[in-house]
Amino acid sequence: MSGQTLLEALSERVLLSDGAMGTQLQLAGLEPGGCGEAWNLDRPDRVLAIQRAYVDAGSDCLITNTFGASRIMLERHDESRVAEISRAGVEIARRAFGDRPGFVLGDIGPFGGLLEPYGDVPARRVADAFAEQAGALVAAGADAIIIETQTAFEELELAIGAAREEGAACVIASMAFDLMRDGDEVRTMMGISPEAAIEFMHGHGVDVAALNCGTGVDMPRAADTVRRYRSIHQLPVMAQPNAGQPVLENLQVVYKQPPDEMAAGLEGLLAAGVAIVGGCCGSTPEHIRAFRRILDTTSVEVS
Amino acid sequence: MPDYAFMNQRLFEGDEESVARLTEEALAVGRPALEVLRDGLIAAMRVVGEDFKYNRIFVPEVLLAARAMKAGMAVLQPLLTQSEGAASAGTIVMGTVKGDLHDIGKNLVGMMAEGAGFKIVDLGTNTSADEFIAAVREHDADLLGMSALLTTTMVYMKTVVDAMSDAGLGNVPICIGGAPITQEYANEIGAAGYAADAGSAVQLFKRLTAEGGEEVSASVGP
Repeated sequence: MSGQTLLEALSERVLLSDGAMGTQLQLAGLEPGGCGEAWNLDRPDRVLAIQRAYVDAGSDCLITNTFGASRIMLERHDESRVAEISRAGVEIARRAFGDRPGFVLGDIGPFGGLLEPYGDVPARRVADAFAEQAGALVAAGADAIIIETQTAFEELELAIGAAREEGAACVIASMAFDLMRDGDEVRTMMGISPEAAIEFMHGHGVDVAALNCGTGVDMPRAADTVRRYRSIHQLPVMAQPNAGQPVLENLQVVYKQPPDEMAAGLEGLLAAGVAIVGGCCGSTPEHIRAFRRILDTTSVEVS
Repeated sequence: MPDYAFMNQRLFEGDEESVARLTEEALAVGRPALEVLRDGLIAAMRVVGEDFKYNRIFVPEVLLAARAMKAGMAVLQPLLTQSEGAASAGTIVMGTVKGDLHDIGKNLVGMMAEGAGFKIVDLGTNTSADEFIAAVREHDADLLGMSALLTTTMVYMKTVVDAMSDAGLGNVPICIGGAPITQEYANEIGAAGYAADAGSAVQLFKRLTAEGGEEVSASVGP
């Protein structure tokens, strides 16, 4: 660590995060539908190799391999090593940086169901699961908690509360917006607009407002969403779009936007005022390397 | 005559209590259960499906409306099972494919289809080809619905389509859906249909099961 906190670093320069983890795990041999988070304990070398590749490509931040590591998600895989998996996730990411300075973002993904009254999962159960996960991530030394791929305020609120209560120094909240049928507007699955999202995040004391993944949200659309966030509140914004639109190839859906093409959209994101950039589905170390090249040759006014 | 437009509105707003009460009141003034189902409940769910498709409402509103629909159905159910001509729109076996644990979308489709008069046999998540086949046989299903959220698990849909065919069930139409699924993919793997949203899925189910039995939700204005 450089001694600088994530928020201090953000006030000076645009930070580069990493690319996809899930698709990389599958390339490394994880069977479809398998529990990738369990590899933090069972195949730590492979997780480490993926994150090292991102560090080598120029990532300043690594997101831990703990997206589905809440008790509720792990139970679906009959996996009971809850705190251990999160703890190991932070340790592997830290190890991947080696001597280099870098920030470890402890990842919390959706719990995978619907809260009451829409579904049948009581808020208490979800709050407990998030607290357990956030507690393990913070105790292991994560520099921030990133709550990703969120679509509903109710769940996001529980995760933010858990991260704060467990003492997270920095909380990043990331929503997944989908392009609507009219091809113009974006909303989350639960109907939240970027404006409503940023109001909510601001009101709940989030440090960094973010967006990731989402159907039909490419680099230009992500830039547009960043602009909409920042038109309401001047929080630092993080964006992790997918590597373009998925296409069908040999009966498989793949994301295959080439690194240079995706990176060409980076200028737009920077102009919109993004503070941390990374990639979601389909992005690889090569995409991150292409981002790095552009970041290193572009001077950005940090606001 | 019951005020079905009012009842539709209450259902649309997800007002369970009112929908249950209005259903009872409609029956109390002598309206046939089938009419209450069609004009009071199904007509409203069709608007819900349509508004969802065009992003005028989102998942929370659909879920609450479906719950209100269920409250009305609970009142009608005993009468419907007794009455003649209450044949269901058909039986659909559905599940999320093997390796995939995501079920929000699948459940939404199931609720909307139930709202349109289908009997749903829900196999849950992580469903193997053998489990799909056994359930289709056991329930003499008119249609099989499969869901997948992950690009890595959607390939299993082809395994199921092929296994259904090998099992001599190639005549049962198979519909697929989920975030990464497209019409193109459905064509590639030989599925009978694809729908992008829950409302469209129900229309698709109706079309594919149309030859069997009278359509319970025939054209009623919203």
